[in-house]
Amino acid sequence: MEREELIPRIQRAISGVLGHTNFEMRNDLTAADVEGWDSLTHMSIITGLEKEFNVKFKLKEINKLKNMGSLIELIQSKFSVA
Amino acid sequence: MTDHTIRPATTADVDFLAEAIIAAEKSNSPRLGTATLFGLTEDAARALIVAMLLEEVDGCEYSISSFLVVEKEGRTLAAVAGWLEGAEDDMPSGLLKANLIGFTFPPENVALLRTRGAVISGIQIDREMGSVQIEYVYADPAQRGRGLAGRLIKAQIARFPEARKVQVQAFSDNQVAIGLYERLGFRIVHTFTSTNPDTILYMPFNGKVLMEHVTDN
Repeated sequence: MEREELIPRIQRAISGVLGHTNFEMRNDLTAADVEGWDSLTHMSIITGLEKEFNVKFKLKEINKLKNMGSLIELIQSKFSVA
Repeated sequence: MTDHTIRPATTADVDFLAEAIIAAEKSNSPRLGTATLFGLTEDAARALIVAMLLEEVDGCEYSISSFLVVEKEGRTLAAVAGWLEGAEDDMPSGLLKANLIGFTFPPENVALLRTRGAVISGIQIDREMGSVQIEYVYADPAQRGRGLAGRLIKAQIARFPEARKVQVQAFSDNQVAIGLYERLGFRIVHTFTSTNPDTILYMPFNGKVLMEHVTDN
């Protein structure tokens, strides 16, 4: 799946939980940069992304998500053939 | 004291660590947030805490690797968690803990937490990146008054010589814990009080203090 296709869907899943779109989908964006993205909403965001893309993340995978770039890469990896 | 050994916790200590976590979270009250907020019994919460510990995720309060314990003649007597916030790939421990809960707890119980989030929002304290975090200070009731918890806290601080600041949180009414931390050089730097009247239905108390210790390292 192309990055350009993923980004709006990721943004929609996140804003659906947080109730706002006051964040830029840049690679170095972290949870700390986004209003309302805390430990409580984080669980809903992960679940929302799994539903949006019909994928299941492993615990080890989500524990390595440093920023938006690594989240995009993780979702892309779920759709890569190799 | 010489026959007491301080060592890192292992998976063999997991039941003792679960008891330490539960006792510390209850903070001398009958309310265990990990049970009440998720609609679980204490036994069910205990089983899930064990399951989280056994995932062996590093860098948060549910990490076996965060704990030091005191052992004597093969018995574990006391435990204290400590970690350097953000040391694991810059991940805040709160997100690691959230990942563990989301991965381990039944979805219906996680959904219940979402409806009760406001109950704890006023007493959730952000952990400062790069600081040492001390949590779950616990000694077996029969061993209290022997300085074991204090020794463990000092040992935790010594594990992180690069850190300049050590933080610990306590419920505001837990004078025993606050007194211990003060004797070890911690000072209260912030007090947090929930204005939500339901907080006290789910948590031990409606207020928390953040205490800090500046190291000489």
